[in-house]
Amino acid sequence: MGEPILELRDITKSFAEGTVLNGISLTADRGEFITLLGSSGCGKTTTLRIIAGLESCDSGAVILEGRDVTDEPPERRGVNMVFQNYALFPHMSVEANIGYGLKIRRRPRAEIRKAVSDALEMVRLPGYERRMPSELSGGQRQRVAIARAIVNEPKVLLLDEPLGALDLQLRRQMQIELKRLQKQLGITFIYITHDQEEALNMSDRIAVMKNGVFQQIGTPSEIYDRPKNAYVAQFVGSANVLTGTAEYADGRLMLRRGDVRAAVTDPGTGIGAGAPLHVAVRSEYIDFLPPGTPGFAAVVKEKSFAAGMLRLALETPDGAEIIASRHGIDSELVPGDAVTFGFDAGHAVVVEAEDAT
Amino acid sequence: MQRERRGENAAFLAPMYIFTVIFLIGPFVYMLVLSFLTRAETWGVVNSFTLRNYERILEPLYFNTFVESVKLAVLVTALVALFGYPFGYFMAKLPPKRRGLMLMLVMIPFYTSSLMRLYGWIIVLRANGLLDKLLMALHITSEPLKILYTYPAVAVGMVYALLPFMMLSVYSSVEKMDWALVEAARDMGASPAGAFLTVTLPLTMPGLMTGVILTFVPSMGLFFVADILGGNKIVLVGSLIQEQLMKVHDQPFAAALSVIMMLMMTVMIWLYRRVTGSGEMEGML
Repeated sequence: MGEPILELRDITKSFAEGTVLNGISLTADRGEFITLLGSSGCGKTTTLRIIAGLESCDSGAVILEGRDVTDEPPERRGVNMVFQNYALFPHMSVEANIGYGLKIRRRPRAEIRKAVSDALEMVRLPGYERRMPSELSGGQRQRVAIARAIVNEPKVLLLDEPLGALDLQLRRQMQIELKRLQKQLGITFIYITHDQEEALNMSDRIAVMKNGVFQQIGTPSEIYDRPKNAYVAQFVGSANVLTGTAEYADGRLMLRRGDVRAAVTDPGTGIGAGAPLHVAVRSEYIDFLPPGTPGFAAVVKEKSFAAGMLRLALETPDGAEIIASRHGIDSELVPGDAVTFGFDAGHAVVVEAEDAT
Repeated sequence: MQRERRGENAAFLAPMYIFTVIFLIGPFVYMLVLSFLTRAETWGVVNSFTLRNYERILEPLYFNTFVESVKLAVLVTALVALFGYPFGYFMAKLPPKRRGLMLMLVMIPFYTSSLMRLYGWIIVLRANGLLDKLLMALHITSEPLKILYTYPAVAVGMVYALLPFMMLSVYSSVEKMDWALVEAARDMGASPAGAFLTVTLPLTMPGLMTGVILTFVPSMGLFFVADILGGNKIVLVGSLIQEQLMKVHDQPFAAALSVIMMLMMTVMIWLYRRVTGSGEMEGML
């Protein structure tokens, strides 16, 4: 730990359709699990392909173990990738698939056989050497794809939404196994996903990406508890972002919206009174206040039940949508009800406006 | 219920069976029977069983024709594969718009009579024709090559006539390639050539093999190419069959020759299935 193995320096990339990467930089340490998190089209796959050497970058540099590999072809980089749809060779057995990289490097046959069987052991598929990819289930193919990559002992393992095609239960199980594998091998993982739960579960650090820019890079708790901007707050914590103006009362920072104001956590960056202010509050911290108490007005729009929580969509008079969630299956509120809501200052985090780029 | 449904299916499929019997099985059986009959003195056949027609194929004159035909077919097929594979490959890798244009350019000649196109080759290949003039103008040769009515002329004509089949069948299997597989190979340390040989080539083998069958089989029978560009000097099995049927009027012998050709074809298709492990042919068939 602490020893950098991979460094991306200010990488940009444009395709005919437009700019995909807008100058991204990242340093990954040996043995670190880094997740690139973002919705589709944010540039995360392109980033991975540039690290792998499958795509060139317009400017910037890729440094692997102190060596500039920006212009090296993929076969000379010492990184391996687990492809999104596994990309197993359909005309080769599991053994030939996993042993491919070693065979290309002309390693002795006995060594290849041993390495393949060890790798299969590692991904818990012992004895599957003779099978063809077409005879495997999705989860098994996934494991073979991982075995095929780790058998080459890469400096960095790149994983492009490896669990995306699996069902929820299998995905949870594979998350745990991947994490175990990563600890056991001590290989640096660069992992792509659009699932924030997956990212929060597995990563040492998360890089939240949007429009070809890293919005924030940090540990899961930093990203979750101290989102840097509105996008990170919404994407990772599914937080509400309330917009208003900054105000001070008794030396405390307040958010003013219309004629209502509420105390928020002061980041201590000296926000001037009257400046626009964005505050993130997660849905479970939206409190309903008794009628007559000062608070923000809204109307219940929708009620739904998901993942053990009741979800209430509210709409403020200025058209902002606020999500409030509660434990339990139902509440007395029905769509159309007028409510007043507020939040505890400790749960209201000041964030930057979403980048315009 | 079950039986009723099965009857229903048979009714729907009946036209297909009738078609197959009338147009495929019927003529084949007719030809097979014919090949064991005796030729009549002047015209037609006599209904007496004989193996004489097959024995005649082993006579040096005819057997050599077979050997020469196979040799030419191997040469033509090899050349067609050599030119057709790269063409089909790169065509499939073009951006979709230009791919359509290329496909059209490959297909257009099909709309012209193939005889017409062969006469075009006469203009190119004849003594002091386009090719000779070009080569002499470039000072590559000092006198006309006189390629027309030689073995190379026939080979050129056949390669030209059969190239589109190879290009299209290779194209259709390259187009289906999952390029992530090639990237995976590169990612695991294969050079571009290594990835091609271990991944792309095996996975596009069905297209190549289809192309080989679509080239090899007709190149034994394209008698008009041999006639027009070979000037009756090069006799192929196809020419032989045509001659026996149309000029000598020896129908049984022509039938026997055809049966042998069909056997060779069957062996090739059987080999194709063994190599590619699939029952269906890529693209054209």
